[in-house]
Amino acid sequence: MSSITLKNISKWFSDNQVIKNIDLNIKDGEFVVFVGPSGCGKSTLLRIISGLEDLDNGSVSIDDVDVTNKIPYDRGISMVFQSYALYPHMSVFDNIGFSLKTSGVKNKILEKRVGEIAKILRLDNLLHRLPKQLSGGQKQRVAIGRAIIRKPKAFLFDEPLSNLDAALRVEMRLEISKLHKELGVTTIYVTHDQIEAMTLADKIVVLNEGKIIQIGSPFELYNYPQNLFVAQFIGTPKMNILECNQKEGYIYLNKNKKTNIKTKKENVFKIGIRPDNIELCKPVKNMLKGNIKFCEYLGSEQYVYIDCELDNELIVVKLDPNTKVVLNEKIGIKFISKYLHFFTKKDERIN
Amino acid sequence: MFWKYGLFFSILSGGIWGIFWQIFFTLVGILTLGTPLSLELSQIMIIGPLAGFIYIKSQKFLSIKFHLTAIIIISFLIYISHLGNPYHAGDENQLIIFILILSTSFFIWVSLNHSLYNLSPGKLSKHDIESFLIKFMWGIGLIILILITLIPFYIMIMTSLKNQQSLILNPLDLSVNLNTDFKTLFNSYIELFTNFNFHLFLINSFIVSCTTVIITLFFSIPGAYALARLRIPNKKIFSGAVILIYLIPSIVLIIPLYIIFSYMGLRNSLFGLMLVYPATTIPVALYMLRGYFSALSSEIDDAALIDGLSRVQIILKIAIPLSKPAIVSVGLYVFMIAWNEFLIAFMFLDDPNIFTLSRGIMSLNSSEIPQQHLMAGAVIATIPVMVIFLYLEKFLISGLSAGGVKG
Ligand SMILES: Nc1ncnc2c1ncn2[C@@H]1O[C@H](COP(=O)(O)OP(=O)(O)OP(=O)(O)O)[C@@H](O)[C@H]1O
Ligand SMILES: [Mg+2]
Repeated sequence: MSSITLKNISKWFSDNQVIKNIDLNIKDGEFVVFVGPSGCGKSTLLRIISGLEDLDNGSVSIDDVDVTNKIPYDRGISMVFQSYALYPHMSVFDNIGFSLKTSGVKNKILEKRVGEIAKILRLDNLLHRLPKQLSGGQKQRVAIGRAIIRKPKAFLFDEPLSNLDAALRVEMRLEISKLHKELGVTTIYVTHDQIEAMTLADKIVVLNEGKIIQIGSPFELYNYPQNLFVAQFIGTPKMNILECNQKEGYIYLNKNKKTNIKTKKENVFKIGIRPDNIELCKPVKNMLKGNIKFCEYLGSEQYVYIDCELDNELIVVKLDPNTKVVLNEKIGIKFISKYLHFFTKKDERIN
Repeated sequence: MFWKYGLFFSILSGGIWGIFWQIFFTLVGILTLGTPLSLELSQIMIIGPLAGFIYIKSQKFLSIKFHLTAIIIISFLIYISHLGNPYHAGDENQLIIFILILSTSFFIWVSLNHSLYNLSPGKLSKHDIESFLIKFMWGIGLIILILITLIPFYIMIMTSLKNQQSLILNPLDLSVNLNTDFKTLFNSYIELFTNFNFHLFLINSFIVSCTTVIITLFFSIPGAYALARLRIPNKKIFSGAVILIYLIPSIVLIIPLYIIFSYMGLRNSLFGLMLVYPATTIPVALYMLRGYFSALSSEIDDAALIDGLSRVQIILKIAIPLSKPAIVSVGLYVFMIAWNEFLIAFMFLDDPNIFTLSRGIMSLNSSEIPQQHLMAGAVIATIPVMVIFLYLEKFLISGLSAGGVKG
């Protein structure tokens, strides 16, 4: 259990800067999730922390000890890979016990430790099997077992669940969460999956193009996105973003459509509203109106896409699944103003 | 279009198989009888297609009885068409001729049964035509391959077992009188090992070849691993240079090498060969192994780094076990290069005590030494490689690295 500090980290691949001056503090026992679009440098950052990748600039400290020049093993960190990366020629037992064996632990202790881990991960009956004789979920559990047997200072997970099917993913997600509660080890977790990020994280780090865009709890990121990127990246379906201008305190959308929104904020250039925070009503005067173009029914909820003649942008609204939706019906749209987000011309949040 | 019909294919393949087996069994006849036989193809060019025609028309009622009848009819037709005297062989050989003709018909029919099985005589779909062609080509290819490898080997062994007199009497006669005792039969081999130092040559070849394999693998495994995994500056230039070395023919190198090694006193020694051979094999081995190593998942290596292994330990405990088939085949390949190498050995070795096998066989090539000794020498040089190959075959299975990673 330890804290991890990254100071001013940069990394180039030939002349392509992949990580750009990143500073980050991870507290003891915290569960931190890195999210960001593909290619933004999440894996690279994780590999830098583990020591698999060299840095061009900056430093990594664990428990206030600078480990920038230490090899992976000496950092006392363990990592779970997206492809599992089990040793194909070794049994489950040897896979889990490999790191202890290399560091010269006696056979008796080794067997006991592997037995304990196997019990936690429900692998007791599979210890003699080879990786190719395991299912995806079992392989992933072996990979996790291999990571926890060393009692590491921190766990690093690089998209550990992305190869599993949806049901198994939910199950393993709960298992990882449980494991973190039990062991209390500092954890860094990379994922594409919003739900994984929201449910697991104490703290989410949003990355884009090698830079940290925002750090915060899931609640903060969802409710107070600091800029347009985070606003659109967190939450499904995406937040509706509409360009606007202000006249006499009221917000006007494109083509001078007047809305019911009144604000004292200045320099508002875009407004954002989540699909959950829009109400539909009878079309009346001086209100945003549109036609229902599509409807997606998901069982527990439904999404309707409304064309308000705003530069081809459709507004997404989340509705109760029991609401009757008639396509091409003309309908009025009411934004619940306390959930509105305002952004400047530079896409920054206005508080 | 006529060529889209099963009937056309059956007649065509009947003709081709007929010609093929006729040639083959005429050759067999020549080799076993030791007398020249005349090769006549015009008759079989009619009988073969006829057999194909019969086969495809009677596919519905194929049975053992029918097969046997068909084979007998074909044999009968061959006899008739040759006016009772196929191959124009003498009367004393009639039994063997009969067996030859029966075999010809048998193999024609079996081949037809292989390539025409379940083919309808009517119009064929594209898929049917393709599967026919694949089966047909596969059959022809397989048989030709077997013949190309077996016939020279057969001739080599048979010649090596003969004595000088019978060889001069009739070099074509490849039958061996098995009633002679062991000593006369294996006379050439015994001579080679007692009078011509072949036991030394064998040992020398083994020493040189094994050392070459060991040295080559010792350098090329870490080298290939480094090229496949590590970020080395100018890696591209380096691996390009390695291939370039491989592309230089050894005939270009041999004269400078000869001069240098003479100056250094390394010529005319096995140690000199052990320096030169790895130098020529390492580039190939490096190239082959690098391809294999880069195909292994690098995340497994990362996992091992995190588990506390050094790069050397990763090579020993991860890379080598996972690429056993590749290493065995590279090792085998290098062994065969070293074992069969002649040019450098010929230039470098003068002392008969340190000859390698290929160099030793070369020294037999003189008018005083009978030809069967040469053949026996060739057999001695071939058999160890075959034995090693058969023994190591079980390591050449692929799929050792399956299951460790996904995606
Ligand atoms: N070994 C490498 N050599 C050169 N460029 C690399 C290398 N590894 C990664 N990159 C580049 O660095 C950038 C970040 O890669 P990284 O793997 O960290 O992305 P990621 O955020 O993990 O993406 P994903 O979500 O798809 O896994 C990408 O643009 C990638 O092309
Ligand atoms: Mg990644």
